[in-house]
Amino acid sequence: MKAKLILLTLIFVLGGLIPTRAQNIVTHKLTAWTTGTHTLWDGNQVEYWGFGKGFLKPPSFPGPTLYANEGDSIIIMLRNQSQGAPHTMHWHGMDVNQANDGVPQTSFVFTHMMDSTYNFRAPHAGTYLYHCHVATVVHVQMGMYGNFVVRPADGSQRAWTNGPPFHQEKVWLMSEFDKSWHDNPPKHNQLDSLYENFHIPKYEPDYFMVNGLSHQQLPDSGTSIYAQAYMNIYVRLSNIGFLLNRIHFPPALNAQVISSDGRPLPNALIQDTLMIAPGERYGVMLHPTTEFLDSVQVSYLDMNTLVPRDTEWVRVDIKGFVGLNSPIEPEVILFPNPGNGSFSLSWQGLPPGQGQVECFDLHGRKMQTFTRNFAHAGTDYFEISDLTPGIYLIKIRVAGKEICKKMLVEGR
Amino acid sequence: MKKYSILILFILLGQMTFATRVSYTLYLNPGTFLAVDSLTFPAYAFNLTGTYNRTNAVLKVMKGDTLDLILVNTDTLPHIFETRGMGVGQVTLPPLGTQSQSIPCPDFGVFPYLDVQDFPKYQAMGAAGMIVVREAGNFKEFYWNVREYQKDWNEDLSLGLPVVWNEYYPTYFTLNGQGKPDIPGDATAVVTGNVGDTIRIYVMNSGLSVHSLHFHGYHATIKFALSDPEKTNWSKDTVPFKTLSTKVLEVIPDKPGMYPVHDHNLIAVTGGGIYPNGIFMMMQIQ
Repeated sequence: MKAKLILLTLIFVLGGLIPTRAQNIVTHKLTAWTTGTHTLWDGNQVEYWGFGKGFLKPPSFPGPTLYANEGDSIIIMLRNQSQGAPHTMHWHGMDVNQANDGVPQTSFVFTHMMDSTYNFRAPHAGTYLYHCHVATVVHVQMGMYGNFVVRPADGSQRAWTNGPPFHQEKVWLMSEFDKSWHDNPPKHNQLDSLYENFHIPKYEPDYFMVNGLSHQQLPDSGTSIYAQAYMNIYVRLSNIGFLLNRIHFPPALNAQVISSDGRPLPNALIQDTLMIAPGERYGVMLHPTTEFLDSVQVSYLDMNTLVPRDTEWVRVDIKGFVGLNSPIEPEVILFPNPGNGSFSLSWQGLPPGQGQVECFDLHGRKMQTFTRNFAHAGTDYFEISDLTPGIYLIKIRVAGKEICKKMLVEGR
Repeated sequence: MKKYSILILFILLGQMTFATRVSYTLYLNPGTFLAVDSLTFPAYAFNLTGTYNRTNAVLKVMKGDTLDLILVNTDTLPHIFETRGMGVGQVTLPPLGTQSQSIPCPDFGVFPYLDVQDFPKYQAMGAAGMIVVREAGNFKEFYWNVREYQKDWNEDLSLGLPVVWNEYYPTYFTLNGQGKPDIPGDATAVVTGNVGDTIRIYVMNSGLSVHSLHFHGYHATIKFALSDPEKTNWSKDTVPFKTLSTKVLEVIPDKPGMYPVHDHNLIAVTGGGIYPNGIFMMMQIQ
């Protein structure tokens, strides 16, 4: 009895001394701009405000998806290059403390040429948003938002820590533009005051987007689902627009709604239609069991009348079967392209294993090498700083397979 | 042995809650809505007096109680009183007439009541409130009735003119009848408390639009959801409300601070087209 007591005491004391997990510090550098230009599906150009990944890196629309693992200490370093407009960053759903909440009245703002820092701990693994909270209705409509994905503590491809695993992951951020607001922003001058009341025009959106893209822009953007039957495909859906999203999955995808707002659902819902209100996020696990070609319908409903304003179609192409010799060639999509040097790769059909992603300029000079563990299918993000505008070659090498993609880096 | 039996009986009696009858006199009042920009328009509300007040009354009972209502129509037009989710029928209210209704309240939750005459005419004009059936417990409780108004619709509807329902574009967004600058004065709405408190917020969307309430700082657990019960026990930071839907949200703050709660249809954070306004409030946790 006494020996058992001593043993238990030892376990308790020593257990307290052993850290459960080495603490990681994840730093993201961002720059806020009011000078972005985005090409819409019909060729129209629209001005937007947004965030660039890296100091003085040009903005992307939507903002870059940020990643961390549950429990990581996150440091966000920000530079404001907005020629007058103050900004904040609100970590939507991450339940940070007041000082880091990004609300002008209770936290802090950063003005032109000012550097600021947010510090917080990555919460539960899940899907979150970030957006500017200054004159929120305007700054959000102008494009100052993006997704924040928190992976499980071990960084594994699971929906949450010890949650269901997936082969492939998609991040879909839905929003709309009312172009008239962008042509003449309700609040856009050097005398922007934080607390001043101001008039906003009637909201009549005319562009409806998934990850900033619509119509024919979507199929080759990395938003589409290219996968094999019997894969688990995890789709992270967020709505940062001012309309209600109705998502309709083809029944053959066997959609299961398993999480919302960064938390697992106590009761997973098996349903092929999902409504997502502004600010909500959902995690949907897809598990096709047959080959097919179809689309996910993303509809945008008026919040006052529920009248659909638009439907976008996101391609779904299920070819081959996991575990069998795949009849399809490995496929890699690089996006955004053109971009600013930071890019994502979405792939399927690669042999699993450790591989390299190398960046070369047109003179054959190697600019950077990344080493990654490749699953059969997946998506990953790569950041290269200080690339001058021009054409680069991105070479993916894994287990004897080699794929080369061309990347155009644009000037600001 | 006898002594112990008496003791046990006393303990059991102490734990029992006794069903009671709770009486309210509820007036349906026509009146004039004073908007945040000082504009006015005709509106209706259910109040506890015969004078129009833009805040619809919250009728509170305990689970198991019976709600005895005396319904007074102060309008010169007929109306129809209806509750949702309570299992009782409609009550026709003749012009300037009085009726009564008894409503058993066996289940915990929030249940809408409204005027369904020429539905949804009078709902659009403001006449919809909530019956809150509470559970016993040590809760800090708050009440949010969110909705919106389209001024010219209220004007047309009050004149008996038709409106095109699928062209609804409201410009006033309210919580308990008030927009942002006035909400801080409503102690029944503004969430205050301490770290570790169990805060319960009884919420109803009495408008026609969908509202999407976003909490800063904390997730809320859905303890009751009338129209989408599959969401019970979900933990959310953003909670949508369809028309006439209700929820009971529970927040247990884990840190102090001032955190906003606002509609994330950001158009609803305006009033009369002016930002900031509308459905926005600050939670204050010590």
